[in-house]
Order: sequence, then C-alpha cells, then structure tokens
Amino acid sequence: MIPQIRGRVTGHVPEPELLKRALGGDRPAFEELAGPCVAAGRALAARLLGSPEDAEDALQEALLKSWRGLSGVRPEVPFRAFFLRVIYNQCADQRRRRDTRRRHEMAVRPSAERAPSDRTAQRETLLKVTSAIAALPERQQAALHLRVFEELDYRTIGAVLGITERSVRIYVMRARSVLRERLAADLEDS
Amino acid sequence: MKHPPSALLRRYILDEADADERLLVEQHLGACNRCRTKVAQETRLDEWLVESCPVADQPHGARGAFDKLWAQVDGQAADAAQAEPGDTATRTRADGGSFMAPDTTDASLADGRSHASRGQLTAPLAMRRAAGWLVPAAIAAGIALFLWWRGGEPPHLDSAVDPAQDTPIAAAEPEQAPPVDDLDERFDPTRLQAVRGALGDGLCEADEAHPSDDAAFAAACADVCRPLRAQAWPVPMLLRRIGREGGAAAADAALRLAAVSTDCDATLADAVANASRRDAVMARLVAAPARPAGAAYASSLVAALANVAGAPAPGTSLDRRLEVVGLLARDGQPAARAALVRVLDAALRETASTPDAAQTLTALAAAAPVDLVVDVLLEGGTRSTTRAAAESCFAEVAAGDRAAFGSALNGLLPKLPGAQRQLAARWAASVVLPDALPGLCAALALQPDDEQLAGAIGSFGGEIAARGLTVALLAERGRPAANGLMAEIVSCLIRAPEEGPVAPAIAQVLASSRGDELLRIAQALPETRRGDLLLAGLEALPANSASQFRRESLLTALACEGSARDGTRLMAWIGTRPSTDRILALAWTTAYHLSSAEATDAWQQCGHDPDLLANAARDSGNWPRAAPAPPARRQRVLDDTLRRASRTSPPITSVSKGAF
Repeated sequence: MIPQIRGRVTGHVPEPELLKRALGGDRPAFEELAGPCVAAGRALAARLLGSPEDAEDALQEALLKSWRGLSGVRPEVPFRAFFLRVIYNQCADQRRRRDTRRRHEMAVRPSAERAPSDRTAQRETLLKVTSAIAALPERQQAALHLRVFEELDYRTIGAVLGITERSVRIYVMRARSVLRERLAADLEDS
Repeated sequence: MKHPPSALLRRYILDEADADERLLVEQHLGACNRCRTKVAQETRLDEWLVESCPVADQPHGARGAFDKLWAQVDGQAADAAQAEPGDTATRTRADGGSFMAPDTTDASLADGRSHASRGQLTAPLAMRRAAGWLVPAAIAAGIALFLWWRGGEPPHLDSAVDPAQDTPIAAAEPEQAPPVDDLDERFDPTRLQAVRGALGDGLCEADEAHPSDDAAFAAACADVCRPLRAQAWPVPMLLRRIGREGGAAAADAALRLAAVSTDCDATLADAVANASRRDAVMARLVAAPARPAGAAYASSLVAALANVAGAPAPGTSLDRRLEVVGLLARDGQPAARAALVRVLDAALRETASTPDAAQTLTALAAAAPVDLVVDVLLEGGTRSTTRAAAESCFAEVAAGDRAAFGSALNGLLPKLPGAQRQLAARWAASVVLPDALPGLCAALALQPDDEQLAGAIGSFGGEIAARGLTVALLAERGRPAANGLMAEIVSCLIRAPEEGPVAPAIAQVLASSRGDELLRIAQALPETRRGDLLLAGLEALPANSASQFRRESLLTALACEGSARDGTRLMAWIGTRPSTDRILALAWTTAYHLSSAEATDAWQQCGHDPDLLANAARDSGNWPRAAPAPPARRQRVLDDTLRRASRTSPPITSVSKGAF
C-alpha cells in the first residue's frame, strides 16, 4: 500500500488516532503528532551536541527515524517520550561519530575569539553555565535538561532515557549537586 | 505556625512528594515566609539555570523540518525504485537504532509491520512497491524542475553573502543532484554564448575589483546577476557552465562566487567536479587560507569536493570520486583531511545499503591517507551496520601496505576509546601488522587488564612480536607499568611456539632494558632457559662503558638466578673479557653457585689464572668453600643489586662486599 498524502488534520485529534493515521502514511497526521515535540527535540539535541547545526542534523535524522519507526511506538508511551528517545539515541550516536571526526577537525576550526561585545556579564554567565552543563555526563545532562528546561515529569524522562524513574531522580539530583558546587559563586552573585 | 516536617519539605524540593503532599506544602508556603525562603534557596538553582541559560531561540520552525523530512523520504523512495530488489538496507529500530534488513524502503508503515516482523520482503513485492513510488517521485521531480525553471533557485545570489556564515564541513549535508543542464535545448546558442560571456566578464570584473573582500565580491556579483534573473535566466546553471567551459579567469570567479555563497555548494561541487582545471582549483584551495576569509572559502571548496566523492550525484563514476579523493589527499590541509573523513565515512555507510559499494569503499580507502582510513574504518567497525564492510576493507587495504597501516594503528591505538582499541588490536593481529605492536603494547600498558590486547600481542608470536616489543618497551621506559609489562610479554614470548627466533629477540630486549627492568625480566624467564637467554643478552650488549651498568645487572642476574652450569659458562664468558677487578668480582659473584674448587677449576679450564680469582675473593672470609653459597645469601645479593639498579643514578660501580 502506498502512503497517501491526505488532507491536513484539523482540530484536536487524540494522539492514538493521529498515530494510527500516521501509521497509514498520513503525513499531516505525523506532523500534527511530532510538531509539538520538535522544539523540545531540537533543544535537547542542542544541549547534548552543543552546536545548533549538529542539533538540526540530529533533529532531521530523528524525524526520519521516527517516521520510519512509527510501528514501534507503544500506545502506553506518549509520542513525545518516544520522539525524545529517538533524539537522545541519535545524539548519542552522533557524539560517538563526532569523536572520530574531531581528531581531524580540531585544526580546521580554530577556537573563536570572543568579540569584546560578547564579554558582558550575562554572556559570561551563559557560557559558564553552558560549559558546566556540558561537562556533566551525557545522561545527567539529558535528565537535567528534560527536567529543568522542558519540565517533563520523571516518569516520562525515564521513558526517554530508557531508565527507571528512580534512576532519573538520582541523575537529576547528582547533576544539580555538581552544578551547585561548580557554579556556587555565580549562583551566589545572582 | 506548624511547619511541615523537614523530610516532607525535602521530598517536595526533590519532586518526590505526591499530589496531596505537594498541595499541603504549597498551602503552607503561601503562608510561611520562612519555609518559602528555605524552599526557594533549594530550588533557586533550577530557576537560575533557566534564567541564565535559556534554550536558544531557533530560527527554524517545525515546518522547515517537516519539509526536509518529506523531501528526504521522497528522495529515498525514488532511489529505492531504482535499486535492485532484495538489496539489503539499513533499517531503523523503533528507538532510533539501526539494523540490517532487506530493503523495504518507504513501504507503507502499516503494511510494513508484517513484513518487517518476518525480517524479509519478497522481491516481487519490493519491486511493486518501488514501482509504486516511481510515479510520485517523478511528479515531485517534475515540480521541482518546473519551480527551478521558473526561477526557483536559492535566492542568495541576489544578495550579498556573509562568508562568516559559511556552512562548516561537519554540518554540510550531501548535496542533492543538481538539475540537468539543458541550456542548449532551451536557449538559442548565440544568445546563450553572449549571455554566458557577459556574465563571465561581470564576474571577472567583480573579482578584480574586490580581490580580498568576499562579501563585496558577492554583492557585486549579485548586481551582475540581477538583470539576468529578471529575464528568467537560470543563473546557477550559467555559473556551472562558466566553471566548466569558461575562460580561466571567469571560471575561477564563478568558483569563488559559489564558494562564498552558502547555498551554492551544488554549483560549486558541479563546477569543481567538471572543471577541466581541477588542479588549478586545488592550487587555489591550498593558497586560500592566506586570503582574508580564506578558511571559509577553502572549507566550501573542500566540502564541495567531498560532496562529489562522498555523496556523488547519480552517475558519478568511481574514477571521478577517486580523482577527487586524490585531490583532497594531495591537498593535505586539515579541511581537506576532515572532508576525506566524511567521504570515507559516507562510502562506508553506502555499504550498508548497497553490497557493491564495498568495492568502491576499498578503492577510495586505497587512495586516501592511511591514518584517516584506519580511523574511519575503526569507527565504522564498532557500528553493527558497517562492521563487516569495515573489517573486510581494512583487511584488503592493509594487506597492500602493512607497514603504513601498522604505523597508523600504532599512532592511533593509545588515543582510541576502549571498543575501537580492542578492534584495532584484533585487526592488527589478524592482518599481522608488526608496526602496530608498539601501539598495542602502549595500549596494553594503559589497560593492563585488556585480555584482547594481550592476546593480540601474543598472537604475533616469535620474532615479530619481540622486535615490536623492543621498540615498545623502549618507548614505555619509565612508565610504572613498563616493568611488569615487559616481564609479562617476555614470558609470553618464551611460551610462543616459534622458539628459534625468540632468543635473539629477547636478547635484544634484555640488552636494551634498564637494570631494574632487566632483573625483573630475568626473574620472569623460565628457569630452564634463563641462563641461555641472559648470556645471549650479554652477548648482545655493545662492549662500551655505557653498557656497563646493564652488563653488571645481567651478570648479577645470572649469578643469582642462573644454575651451576650457567655459572661455569658465565665464567668462561667473563674469561674472554679484560680481567679488570670488577670483572673478577663479578666472576666471584657468579661462582656463588659453585664450590671454590669448582670455580677455580672452571676458571682454569678457560685458560685464566686461578690466582686472579683467589685474589679477588681473598677478603671474603668464605673462601675456599666446600659448597655454593646458600640461597638466602644469593637472594640478599639480588635484592641489594635490584635496589641499587632501581636508582638510575649513580650506576653500580662495584659489587657489594656483602656478596663475598
């Protein structure tokens, strides 16, 4: 059966219904389903990969994989969790690959000189926080991001990362504790 | 006011409170300033993180992402339609992982479930599906062609382009196939030539007017192109023509324009791929970093070249890809090397979907720098989808140049992550790359528990292993793990089946080892062969004063660890050396396992004056003696020597009097 491009989905359609339609090749249904998760996915990828370009690549790849892997979505798992899990796996894969390339690209991209205008206190704080988060282990990063920035509940985060809710709590707690320690001075100033 | 228990507050802070508890706490917080402050202090971090580190605003919405997705899906479906039925392809697991499955590309997902669960698709069904996609794909292609013909090219040529926004190589996606050049069919030849000439002249003028300012150059070019666009001339296609057939200056300017224009990689790729002066282009590429904004320019060129070889347009021959790989390899700039990594990785990934691609991969790998090839293949070898192709490519290419591949592995091994390091060890052993041995040993020193590494080193066996080890051990000297490692490896060599060549190799190891290392190695050697090997080590030592320290250590080792037979042989050996007091003292030490009579006899048999020996031993208080010295005393001598030897400076200048 060839997937048909059908009319745009309008109005609120329950997720299972959208999933069913998307499984039948209904592209607008898939867009309706995945559209609300795109921003969160992009943000998670940007957090884990540290580069908007790489994040965009990961997002694109994850969308394709989600479309192709729709048949594997379990009805009891929210699509958002499924999609973020695909993003997370994609980022992990991309990070591994990037290690290989980085050995050869280090010389290609000289470290950018910070423009004087960038040296505002706000910018510096942003850089500090970003690099402190980036220094966390991958899972802690993802767990913290999903909890603090995306405000997902622990159960959903567990589904995204493929770990138990309890483990998620531990990851988030550790991440917070590390950040609190590393950013103590800035936190105090704020 | 009654405050909630601190445990409950803690649970609330950690999001562990249930809904009722949360309600309770929140009600209390509304009324209690103290608790509110306490909770705020704890939760401040989250708020502060969100404030100070907002998720970056993304200019791209979901719409663009979906547009790209559908274009990708349609493109792959069109490719699948052309592919042979039954080709294997990389399929996606539900959670984003990959696995190999027969090609069911873009079959209906609902329908595909049953087939996917069976893990295969019958050829006729695949063909029907492929054929089913031809029609929509053709329609899509037709629409795209129509849009393009109507002037739907990327609009960036109409505006000044900021070279700083150039696409980095890593992020550059493979180009889609450029539209077919049908200028000759669409336009009158005379008019076409005139327009092309005018455009070429305009580009040359812009190039001359702005030799170093890419943005100004792009703006000037945009002015040149605008009237042509207004008349619906397909400017990118004209640029490609100029790149391919125009005069040198015009082609160069066209390439430059494509290079500074972020959306013109297809133009550039095509121009570079088809340019008759590819070498000139590469020369320019090499010179580019010296230019203002040159790095970006070079990156564009290299990315374009990589696109030709890594994601070639349909019909691009292997020869063309090889040529581009050759150019990139010859360039040698970091950007070119990074592009090559991409090219090789793309070729490796092709093998997951097209069995024939393995030959292409091998050919490309043979043309690329060895270290890059090794790196990419190792990375690919740890992926389930490309493992087999990477391994077979490695075996094939490495067999052609073992030394180079061995050296490349040697350099990479200590830097590789665990899985790749083990794979490298396995490959190095399977293809027998002696030059990789030092790296393997260094890696083993970093990871002494790695059985695969140790096994790989052992599997080299005999002479090859020992030769590599000698180099490795020298390199590892001074590292804490080196001593144990050397003893381990030498004893591993002793157990190796090729016993013949092992002895000289170990002698070489012994001769090049430091005193304390050497004694430990001596202890690790099997008793039955210890004397032979230590003597061989002595023989291998150069007869100069620099080797004196090692010589003493070897002699002590022989004296304390060797057998009576070794003592006799050692004395014979010493007898051939100048009879200095030190040598005599050492001779006496070696005689520890002989009685006075046996020692004197042996000394005499070697044609030396037994009085020399007696004089040297005169003050010992244990001479003449009826039996060899007891083991405890020999052990003390050994310990003493070891202690001295482990201090690299000053070297031992005399044997301890305690020995006597």
